[in-house]
Formats: sequence, structure tokens, C-alpha cells
Amino acid sequence: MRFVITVTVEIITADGRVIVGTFKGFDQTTNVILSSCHERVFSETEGVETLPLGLYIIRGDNIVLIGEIDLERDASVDLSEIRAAPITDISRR
Amino acid sequence: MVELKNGETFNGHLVNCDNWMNLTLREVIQTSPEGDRFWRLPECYIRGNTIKYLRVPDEIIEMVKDDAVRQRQQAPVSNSRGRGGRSGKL
Repeated sequence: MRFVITVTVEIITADGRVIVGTFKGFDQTTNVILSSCHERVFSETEGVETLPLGLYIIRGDNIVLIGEIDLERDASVDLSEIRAAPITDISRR
Repeated sequence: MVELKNGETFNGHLVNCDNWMNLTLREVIQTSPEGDRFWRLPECYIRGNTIKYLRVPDEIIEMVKDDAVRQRQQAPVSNSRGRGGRSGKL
């Protein structure tokens, strides 16, 4: 049986990036396929910048967190008002 | 486009890959982690475990669906999803 997964997820990577996209697939090593993804770049002085990325295959090694996004609640957040420090890169220590 | 864990990126045509995500690319443009230096390589081989992520053209996901349909028509019993085993060209 095949079923279609249509959830929007947020992935935080070891280098501190926050990537939001539609979950398309995964495998046993947590490699993840996301379509129509965009990156959210946080800053303490400006609002959140959203960069369109497209279709991504993210290697499991590099994934720290995967979380489902509640689209309604996400839409109610005004990203341009959010000030937050970027997440630290933990991949090169 | 392939970005490695060290931040280097490789832009090129995927010609082969295996179950470990090792890749062979052709007509490659390599970019330094700082993004200020570039090299052109006719071909390169990338070890899978050095990869951070792959950026692929949007059309590919549609091709995968078509492929799956075709495979099911050819062999309705098998349900092998494989792992990263897309051997086609990007």
C-alpha cells in the first residue's frame, strides 16, 4: 500500500539553518526530501527573512530536528515582527 | 547542486549515484565555502557521507512519480522503494 504524506515540516540542520517545506519522503538514515522549501533566516535586528529554495534532499547526518507545522497557527504569526538570534552552527566543532 | 558539510558546493549533472549517496557529477562548477573561488571540473566523484544536502530541480519529483507508476505497471507485486536509488540523470 502506498499513501501520500502531505505535511509541512520545519527542519533544523546542524549548521543552524531552519528549513520549512512539504515533506515528501524519508529513509532509514533520516535522509529527507522536502519540496517547495524555504529557509527562514532569523536576525536580532530585522524580521525573519524567507529565502525560497525549491526541492531539497537533506542528508540525515545533518538533521537535528524535524517538526510538523500547524499551517493555521503558522499563518497567524507575523514573521516580519520576530526578532531572534540565529541558531549556532554545531557542525564544525 | 550539492552542498558538502564543509560548505563547498558542486553544481553539475548527476550521472550516477549509489546506496551510500556517493555521486558522480559531470560538467561541474565547484565553489569554495566562502563562495569567492570557483573551479570548473569535467567530472567529479563525491563521497556520500560528506554531503550536507542536495538541491534538485523541481521537475524531478514529478519524474519520480511517473517512474513509480511505470514500475508498478511492469512489476505489480514488487514494492521496493529502494534508498536514494535514483539512477537517472538530473
